Amino acid sequence: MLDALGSLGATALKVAIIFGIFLTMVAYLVYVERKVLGHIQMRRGPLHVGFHGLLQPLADGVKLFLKEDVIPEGADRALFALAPAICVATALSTIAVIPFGESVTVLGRTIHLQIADLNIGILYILAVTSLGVYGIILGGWASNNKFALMGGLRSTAQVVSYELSLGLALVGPLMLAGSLRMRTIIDAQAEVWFVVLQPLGFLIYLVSALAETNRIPFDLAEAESELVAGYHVEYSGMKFAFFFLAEYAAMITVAAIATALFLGGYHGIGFNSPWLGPVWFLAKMTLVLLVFIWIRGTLPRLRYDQLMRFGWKVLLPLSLINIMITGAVALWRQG
Amino acid sequence: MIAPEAFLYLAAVLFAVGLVGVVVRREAIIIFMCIELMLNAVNLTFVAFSRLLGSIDGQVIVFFSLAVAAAEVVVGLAIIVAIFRERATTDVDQINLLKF
Amino acid sequence: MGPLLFVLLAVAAVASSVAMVVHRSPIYSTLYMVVTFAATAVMFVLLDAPFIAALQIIVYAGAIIVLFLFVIMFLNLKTGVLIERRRGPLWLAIILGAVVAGELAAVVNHGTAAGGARPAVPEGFGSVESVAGLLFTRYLVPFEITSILLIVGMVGAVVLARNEEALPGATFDPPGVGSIEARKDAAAANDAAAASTGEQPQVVAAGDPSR
Repeated sequence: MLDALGSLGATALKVAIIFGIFLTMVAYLVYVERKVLGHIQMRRGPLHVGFHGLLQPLADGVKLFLKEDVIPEGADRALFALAPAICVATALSTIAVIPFGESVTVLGRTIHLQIADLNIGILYILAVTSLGVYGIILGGWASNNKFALMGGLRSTAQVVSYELSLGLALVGPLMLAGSLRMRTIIDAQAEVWFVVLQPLGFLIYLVSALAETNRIPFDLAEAESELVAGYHVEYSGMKFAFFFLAEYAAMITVAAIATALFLGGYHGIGFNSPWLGPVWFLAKMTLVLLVFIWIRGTLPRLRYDQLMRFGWKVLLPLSLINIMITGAVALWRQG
Repeated sequence: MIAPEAFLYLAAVLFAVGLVGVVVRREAIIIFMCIELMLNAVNLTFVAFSRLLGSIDGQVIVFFSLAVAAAEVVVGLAIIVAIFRERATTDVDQINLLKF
Repeated sequence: MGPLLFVLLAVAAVASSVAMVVHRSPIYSTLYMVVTFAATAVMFVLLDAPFIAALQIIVYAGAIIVLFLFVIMFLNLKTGVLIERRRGPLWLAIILGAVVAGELAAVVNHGTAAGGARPAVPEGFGSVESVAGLLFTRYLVPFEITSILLIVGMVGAVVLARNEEALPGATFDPPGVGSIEARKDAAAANDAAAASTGEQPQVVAAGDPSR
């Protein structure tokens, strides 16, 4: 009984810590993106709030919290409120299976640095990601606005199309590690990272992840200058903050998955200690996120038909070819 | 813990709800959704029996059932869209002639 | 813990399925169906079938119902009418449902052994490896046939739902819009009629881009 209570307490503490760090990361990712984008565009980014703008996320949070919550006339109130909640819930649920480090021993108990060690870790991630589509499509529908509906439907079609190549790109590390469990896949990268063995898979995954999270160059459905910002045009205040939060949280999640599955997770180069694992993990995640921001600052966006054509006619066949090559090589090395 | 028979009774109830839905509703899409509900109840029955009898075959059958349901939904919805283009209605009482 | 979870899931599944059948708006019906499928997926986990549970969410809740939502929004279906105008058929349908449920329950009661014990299953029952082991050995032929079925379904959907008028080089002439020569003749006839009667041309070819 005490043991069960102890493990429940440990889980609750883990959830609190991981979520606290995660939400702070989301807030500061917005700041980092604005700063880096600013420097790419030969300007400075936020500078005044706090030392070099470090308190900007706080100011943004206060502003969005105090803004008036407008619900358009004729909008479906229940779905209008539900859509951002679905987006945020699915974006935040995915980090439950990501292992941030090896098991540490504290006070005689072994604590895994992971909220839930599922046997079907990757399938859980795919399942929760495919549920995130509902926030977009319901947000577009419930706004009683033609532009929102068009943007929502386009964005949904885009996300659903790129989910295919995302899932197939993840099959590569799965085949190399022989398991769906996240921890097993990371431990299989102890000597050599999967990005070396699966370069094509890694590229496909990065591109599909950009499309899944509606980032440039695939953000036609929600860009401010196209379709009047798409499915979140009618949202203001905290509901818009939730959509915003969900997008950046999804970005961090896909970066975490890329780190875990391709970049070796918590295995470092050089010194390796169970307590240093999370530091390595966060460092690699930050690298991937900086690449995402760099892409945003330098590439133009694709037109919608170009986007869909690329997803179905280029990425999907490439990911299938990747699986075939991986399977052939694995079979050849085994036999 | 829970006897798998309880799941079987629940699946029977879900199947009956889907059946009543097919009989009562008039829009083609809702009828289609109730058919999917019936398929879901059958999947639950298969998985419950797989657990009861200790054989994985039930879960493999559910795998195929999911794939076939997906293909069926795709084609069925395409048919409904094509019909809607002609008749501008999905009321099954009005789509009762093979021609015109 | 187990029984309580099962009761909660059962109530959620039945309530949301009834709500799906009863609700007038198709969008809400689909959302209630998502709740039903999610409850079913958790029940699959309770029945030691985690792989099938994940597949249920990915395929059913994540793809099939999104497709339903797409079609409903695309066709812009408004709220429907629940029942026939006469009350008789509704009660008959409910009685039919109760009879079917009762018959199925009787079959279950008769067929399964007494006692609620679950037989012991090996470790890893229902995991991906166990299902895959069976899927690629004994059920290999149905597996390949299913892949053909999915391709056929995709091609069939594209053929059934495509827009004939929008394809370049289409020879199909939809009613109301003639070929280019017919439209020119109609425009010439309009101009002749306007010149002779001095009125505005009344007849306009539908979809004529110059008007």
